[in-house]
Amino acid sequence: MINAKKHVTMNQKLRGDRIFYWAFLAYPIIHFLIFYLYVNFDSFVLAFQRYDIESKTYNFSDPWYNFNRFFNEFNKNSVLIDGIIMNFVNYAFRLVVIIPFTLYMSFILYKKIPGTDFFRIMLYLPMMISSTVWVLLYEYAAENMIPEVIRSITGQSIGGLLSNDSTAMGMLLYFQMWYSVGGGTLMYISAMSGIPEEQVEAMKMDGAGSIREFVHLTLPSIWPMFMLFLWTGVAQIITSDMSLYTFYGDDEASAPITTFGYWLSIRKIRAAQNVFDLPYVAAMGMIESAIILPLMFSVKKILSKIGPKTEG
Amino acid sequence: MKKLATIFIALLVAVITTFGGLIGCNREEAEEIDYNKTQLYVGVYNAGYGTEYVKDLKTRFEAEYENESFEDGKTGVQIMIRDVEQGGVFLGQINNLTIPEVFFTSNADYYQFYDRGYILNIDDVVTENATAYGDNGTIESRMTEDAKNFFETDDGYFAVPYVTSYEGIVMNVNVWEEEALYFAKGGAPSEYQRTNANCDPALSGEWSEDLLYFTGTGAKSAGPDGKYNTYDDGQPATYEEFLLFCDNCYANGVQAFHWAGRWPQTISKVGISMVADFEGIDQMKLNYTYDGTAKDLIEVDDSGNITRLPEQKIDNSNGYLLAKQEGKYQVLKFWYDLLHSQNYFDANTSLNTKTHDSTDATDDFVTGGILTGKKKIATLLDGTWFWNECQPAIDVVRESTNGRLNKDNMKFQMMSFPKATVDKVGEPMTMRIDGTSICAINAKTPTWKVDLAKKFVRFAFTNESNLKFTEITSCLRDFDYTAPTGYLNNNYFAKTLYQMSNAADRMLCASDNPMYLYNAVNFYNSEIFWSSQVGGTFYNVPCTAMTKEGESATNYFNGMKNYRTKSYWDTLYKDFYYYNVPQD
Repeated sequence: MINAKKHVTMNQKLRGDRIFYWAFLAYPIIHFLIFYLYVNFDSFVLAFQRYDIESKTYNFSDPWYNFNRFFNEFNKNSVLIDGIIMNFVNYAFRLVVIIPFTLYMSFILYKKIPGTDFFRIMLYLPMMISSTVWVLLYEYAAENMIPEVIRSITGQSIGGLLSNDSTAMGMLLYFQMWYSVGGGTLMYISAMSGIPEEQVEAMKMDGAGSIREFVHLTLPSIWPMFMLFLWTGVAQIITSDMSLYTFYGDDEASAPITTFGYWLSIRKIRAAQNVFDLPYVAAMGMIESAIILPLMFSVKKILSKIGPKTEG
Repeated sequence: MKKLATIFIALLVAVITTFGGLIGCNREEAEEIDYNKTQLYVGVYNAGYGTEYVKDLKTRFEAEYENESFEDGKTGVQIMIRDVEQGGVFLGQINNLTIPEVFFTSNADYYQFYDRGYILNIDDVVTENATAYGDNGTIESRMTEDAKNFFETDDGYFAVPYVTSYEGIVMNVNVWEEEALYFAKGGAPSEYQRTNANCDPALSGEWSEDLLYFTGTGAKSAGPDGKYNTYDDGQPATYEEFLLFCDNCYANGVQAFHWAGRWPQTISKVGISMVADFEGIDQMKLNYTYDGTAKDLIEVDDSGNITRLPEQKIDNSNGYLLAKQEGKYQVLKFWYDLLHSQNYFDANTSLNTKTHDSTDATDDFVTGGILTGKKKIATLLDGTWFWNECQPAIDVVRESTNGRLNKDNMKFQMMSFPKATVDKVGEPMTMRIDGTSICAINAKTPTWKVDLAKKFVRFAFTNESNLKFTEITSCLRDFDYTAPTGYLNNNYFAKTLYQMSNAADRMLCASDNPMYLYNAVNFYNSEIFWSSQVGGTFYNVPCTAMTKEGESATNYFNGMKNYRTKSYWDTLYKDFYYYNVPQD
């Protein structure tokens, strides 16, 4: 009798656990099915469809139309070639300047040099405040304050630094750096904090200086995260708008430089207003993915092969 | 302690930078709901024309129905005014919104709202004779043929246009008078040329530059309409005279024209209005209907020599040929001449400062010559919403002059466009009217409330409401409505705009061609209108191409033709050839 009761209780508990388990998983699964599988499948199909004006429905009358249209526009528009070059310049800047600088700052803060707290706050500040506020402040500084200071010193009017073709690129790259260093530093410091103290001490006892410690211990220890940053950065080579949308809105004409990512975003926003153009937007997304995916996997493969190994 | 201080400072900086930007915001307190009345939510795109005209509607409509019941246990109506986004953004939101129930918005692609079923049929409202409001005539009977064709779909009317938006040149009349910028009767070169077979007045021996400008004695020249004693007297009648006017401004230390540096497209938009004025309704309308005969297509060689092309039947399949319309070339040449000399405008603000927005440009224009350090400016590139938007600047002037200058004696008016050549002087002006303002009813309005919403829309477009709209906003509606004599005498801007509009041929930039309806943004967007490919370089803003890249008008014009090739056109619009292209 007691055993039977115990058995029933166990079954009930198991059932309860299962209900809890499935209730817990239900939301992410439904979310995945609708917003990942269904939406992407729907977009995939839509990319090969056209809107029929008479029946007001989508059909497969000309499956390659949207792709042809994209390449036609691409061939027509020299801005796009320039835009892709801009995207690569942006990525190169990220690779050569932003990432090394982020690593450098992270290592300094990790080593707790004097003023670490101050630097930490200053670096995190851009992450704590709305990007719109920063963009406004930065815009006024670049367009009004700095030119005014230069005018008062040299007597020469130089115009806004974001409006001027020759200075806009530099100002936008600097904004990227200033805005993204804080977030990256936060992540790297967390990873660096996980390095066992004994290993650091051992290196010191071997007479290693900071540079050797960084190259042979710190970098290998945070390599998976470093790789992740590089890898996700590749995904943005084509899609990054270099904050142009935040600075210039969908007002393409005011932007002295245009990246391919920015051009694409504006086209998507405009086309999404029109039922006739929705398949075109879907095709744009597919083309974007077709370029990015192989690139991302290739880079991942290369990075996993060239990664450093920790000493000892 | 040190750590606490650091955190405190960081938080302080964060709060100051975040909320500091909001200090200028001055939100009106939301009106409380009166649960004894039925609420009707009315959305307004609060830009350019403000919300005052809807507040006036609210007052009068609530009074009209104060004793009527629309739901059990309630008497009267309470209009709740809410902000809505501009049409392009609102299109993406409305399907998820149950309020507002009625809305007024601009930059809206009407057909997209209709085609997606986001707005309700208001056929009965548009065709109803609203005698209940003391009105005599239907909304439809007051609409222009253009507007009827566009707004009446196969299923009837789903919206009505609520404002006539028109982009052009605003004059500061006070500056023109103080600086003697008007042309004088008998002195304006175009007047001499018109009566002397286009002879150069400088060679005539009976004309001198001293006769050019009106100095307070005698009379002003006839202006572009070729008639004396009208609203455009003394204004430059030709492009050539406009350049003389700019030189005169420069000589007097006045800035000839001004625009917001943030919006280089301002010149593009004014440029389209000028193309419309050059082409006239029949030819300009082809850019929207793609149905008719193009009569002024040209080719221009590298030296700027024009070759006229034979007349060409235009349909959906060859619309790209309209890039060769002469008006486009003449207007590009006009702007090239003006922008080439940096004596006429302030390059520092208008070309090189993207934070210089419309409000800054309006402030510069209104306060020029009055506030210390501000140069007098003769004209501003803007739109019919100017007077409504410049009121804060006028308040600043009133305070700084202790009331000496105020909105009653600061005079501004929309300028008539000068004509490209002397032989066009006297032709009526063609006013290109934007077709993107709509008033409509949200399809998600509860069924029991639809009748009330329709009553409100009908009320908003009575003759009285149309007049009130003009009185309050100083802007017009694209309807035939007559202002009683003297009605607008106290508002110089509205009065002259009304006179100009009545004398002009008005043209709605829209058509019922499905190619237009399904791709409206491609046809009303100034960047697409002016797209050009010069060599390997793509442009869509003539101002930027000319000032920053040094492109000539000829190169830009030929680039427009290069950009619109047959294959490109086919890719975009082939689906619509069924509509009016003869089948083999």
